[in-house]
Amino acid sequence: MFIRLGFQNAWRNLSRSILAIVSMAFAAAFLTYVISLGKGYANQAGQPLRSMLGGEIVVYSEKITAETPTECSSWSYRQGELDPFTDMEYLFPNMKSTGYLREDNQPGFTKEELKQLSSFDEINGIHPLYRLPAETVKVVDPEQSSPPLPEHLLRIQDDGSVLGPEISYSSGLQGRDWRTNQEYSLGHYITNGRWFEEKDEEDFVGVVSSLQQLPQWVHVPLPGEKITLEIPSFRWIQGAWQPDYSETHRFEIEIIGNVTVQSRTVDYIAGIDGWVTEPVYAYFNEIYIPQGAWNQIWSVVAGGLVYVPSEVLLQVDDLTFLQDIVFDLQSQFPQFSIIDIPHQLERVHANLSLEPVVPMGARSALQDRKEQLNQGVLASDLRLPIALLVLINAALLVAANILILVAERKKEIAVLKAIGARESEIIRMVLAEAILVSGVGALLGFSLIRVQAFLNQWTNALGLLPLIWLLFLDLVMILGMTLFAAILFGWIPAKKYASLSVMEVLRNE
Amino acid sequence: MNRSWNRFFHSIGKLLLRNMIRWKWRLGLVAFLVAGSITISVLYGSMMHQASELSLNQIKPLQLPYDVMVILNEGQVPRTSFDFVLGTYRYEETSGALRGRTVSVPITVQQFENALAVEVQSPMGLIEVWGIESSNGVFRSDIWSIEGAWPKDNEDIWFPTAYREMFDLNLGDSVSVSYQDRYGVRTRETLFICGFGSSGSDLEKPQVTLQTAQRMSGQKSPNRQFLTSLTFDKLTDWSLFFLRMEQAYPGSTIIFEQLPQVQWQGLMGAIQSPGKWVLLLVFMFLAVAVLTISLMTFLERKQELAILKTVGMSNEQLSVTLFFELLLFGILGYVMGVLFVIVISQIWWNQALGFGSIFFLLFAQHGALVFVFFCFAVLYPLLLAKIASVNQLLYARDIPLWVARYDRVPSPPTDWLKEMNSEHVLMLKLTVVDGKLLSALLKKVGEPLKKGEVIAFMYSLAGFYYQEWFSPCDGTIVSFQETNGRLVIKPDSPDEPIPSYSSFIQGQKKQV
Repeated sequence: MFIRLGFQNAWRNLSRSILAIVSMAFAAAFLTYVISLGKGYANQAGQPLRSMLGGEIVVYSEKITAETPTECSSWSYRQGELDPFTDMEYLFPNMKSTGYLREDNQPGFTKEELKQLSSFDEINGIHPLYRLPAETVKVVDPEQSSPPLPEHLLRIQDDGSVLGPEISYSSGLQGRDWRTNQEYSLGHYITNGRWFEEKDEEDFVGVVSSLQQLPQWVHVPLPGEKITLEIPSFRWIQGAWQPDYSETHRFEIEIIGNVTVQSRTVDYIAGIDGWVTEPVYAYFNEIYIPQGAWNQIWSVVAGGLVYVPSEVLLQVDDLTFLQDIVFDLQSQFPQFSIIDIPHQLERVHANLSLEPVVPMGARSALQDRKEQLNQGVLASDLRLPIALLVLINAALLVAANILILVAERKKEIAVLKAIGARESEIIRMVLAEAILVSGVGALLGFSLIRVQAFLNQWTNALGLLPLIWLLFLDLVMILGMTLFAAILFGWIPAKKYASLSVMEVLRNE
Repeated sequence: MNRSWNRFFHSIGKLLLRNMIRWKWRLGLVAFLVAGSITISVLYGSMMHQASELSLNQIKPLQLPYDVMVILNEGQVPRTSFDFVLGTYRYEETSGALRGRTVSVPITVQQFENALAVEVQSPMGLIEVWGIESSNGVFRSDIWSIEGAWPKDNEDIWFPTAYREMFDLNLGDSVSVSYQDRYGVRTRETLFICGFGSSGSDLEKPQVTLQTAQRMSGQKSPNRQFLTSLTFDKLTDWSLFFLRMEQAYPGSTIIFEQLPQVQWQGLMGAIQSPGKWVLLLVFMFLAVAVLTISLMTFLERKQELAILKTVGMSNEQLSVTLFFELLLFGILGYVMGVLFVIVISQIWWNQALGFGSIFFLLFAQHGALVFVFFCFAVLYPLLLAKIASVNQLLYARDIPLWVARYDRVPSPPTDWLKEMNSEHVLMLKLTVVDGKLLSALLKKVGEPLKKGEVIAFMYSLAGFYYQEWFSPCDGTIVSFQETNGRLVIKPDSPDEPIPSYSSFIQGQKKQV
């Protein structure tokens, strides 16, 4: 009876209740934001880049991204000379000219560190990036080239036949394991030919992108064609691989497949057509070959030295806790740059490096969206105190709301008491209203922040049950905190007013 | 003046003190909120500060023998004249006619040099080689300590000293390099090391003669430009500098000694931008909470305020009393916040805040911000207390912030206007929506009216907005139509003037 009266009270003074609900929602949203663990990415987040690199977390052995530095370190500016054994050369080519900041002491991966990385909680697999700089050499056929070759480029042989020029362009040679999961191979991006199979392991066969940035007269090799690779020899000098171009090796590789990677779709307004959705494709000159073949090439060009990677890809089961894993990794390995793929993709998209060909109308729209490196790494060691202080603040807000609700009804409470209501019943009435208002507010604030994350996680490999359990945990935490505050701080004023004598209240009116 | 202020404060002092003791819990809550907000914002702010400003010291500035290097875009021609200003700096004149005044001096470029950079493949990897003219003023100056000689011949190549140690090079060694023309055709060539050297600066590159570089790249015009200015060190306004460089060299890359710092600041700004929103959220939180509490306290003692107003307390005294009781507890909260921060940073947080200037700066900054939000939050009840009349305080359910009073129709339609003039009546238009009267009508049709008597009123916008219709003269209500809200008043005296509406042009038609 009195609980219903409390609900009626909340309904009667609707505008004030709504105000209280809004402020509670505000507090709950803030709390959710601070304590909610699984922010979560959708299953498909950054899929093209995950396939191209083969993992969900990128670890560079040199520290180039400026997450809030926790260790005392000195940083300096570098220009040119990007590490050709990483994917930075084709993901961030602009760094080469504009330069970048880099931490000075960069130790590179040691065996122990790689072992630690792979045995880290939640990390399922570790995949070093087997990549080396290569030059693709192509002899142009003067008969078939269009536009026709200028005469000074033609080479006339002793027997009178005419040869076209040898044109070379830089590529990256990546070794890929055919055994990896579907999602880490470019298998489903194949548009022509096929991806690697078991029988290819030791063969010199390759897969290239059907969209590349190439010099004039050269076309993208199709399946069945052969290409020549020129690879420098490598020496290990001062903790880094140093290419020696005076001593090069040539390898012939048969192309067995072409991939076309769609990196995203862009929506833009085009004249009278209104909104147009167009796919944007990734252009890259990488050549993928089977791991076994890559190892053979490496043993030739490096003179038998063991390959030390400077980039490692880590694989996780699902993307629900990706940011938290990255956060933990970063605090354990402050000497490396650790970036999750969705963030990496954001950065790649921001400088349009993989997408030299973008629909005309979309280019300006994309340029507008261009931002600086967005590494929204939230403050590290203050998370807990801030959450606590926010909780105190939220609790005080609840208290203030309930104080208002009760103080407004001083007279009503006195009347209720006059017609025989007991103290405990009055308290029950007030608390019912307080719980209703803060509960609705907390739910509102919670769903405001958490719904999107939930929908994202839905697509993951997590399974519905653990997902709901996760959601439930968060909800219980938020509701528990706000309701605890509501009951505690509601009880004090309710008790105070309920224990006032009827005469005293009514006399003062 | 001074005495009257003294009396003013003397008169409210006791009341203020009593109020504060009476509302100690509620005001204590305000103090607690302020303390919490200050603690959060200062701790968070100091963390952000440490991340950006303090780590700035860890960034090494570049050492360069020139002031600015411009990497020209493909197809961009180097400039031959520099009639633009890189920026200005200010200094105070200490002598002469302008003594004591601040003089703004433009920073101009005195000298510029060119180079042609080519990328070649070499035993040292892919390296950038600069073709430099022998008359160059930057790369042939005395600051370079060299061994051997600068490149003179077509086959000469000169290396920075760092290369010699790393790759074990010697004078006279041959280096086989290859380079691509614009079609992608490679040419191989052997160069001989003519010298080593260093100026102790960063970004040093191997050098060849300009002719060699031109032969390698197949390009005549240089693609690097080096600017030297005598007063470049005094430049602090980077935004103007970037603007000018963008005008002079559209789309090209510029490199200068402070670039790492400028890049770092940009990066930190991008990283910390969400943190600033969090701070704003904390302050908004405070404002909402303080507003709730102050409003509640006000509502609870409406009657008391009405009595105080009745016995002659002025509006100023009232608002000062209300404001000061909140402000004093706000200050108390601020002090508590300072203590909290000190305790937390000493005990809990391993990186204790030092008592340096940053410490005080942060407290001053965030204190000022909290004060601003605080003042906004307490403004509303203060305003209410000030504008509300005794009657409103005692009886009104809502005290409006905005009040509109009408004694006429603001813009009557033409037929109403005609009727007003022909029948000699006055009209009001009450708020009617879909044929239903929203305003509360206090008088009936046929009832006599006195001038200034309220005929109808209406609250809207949750009680914030109050509208009132009152009688413009003594008279009688002749009719009221609920369909359009028209209320017609017949004035008692026949001389009562009909209000004139200047927006209507009465009278003749004009020929156009």
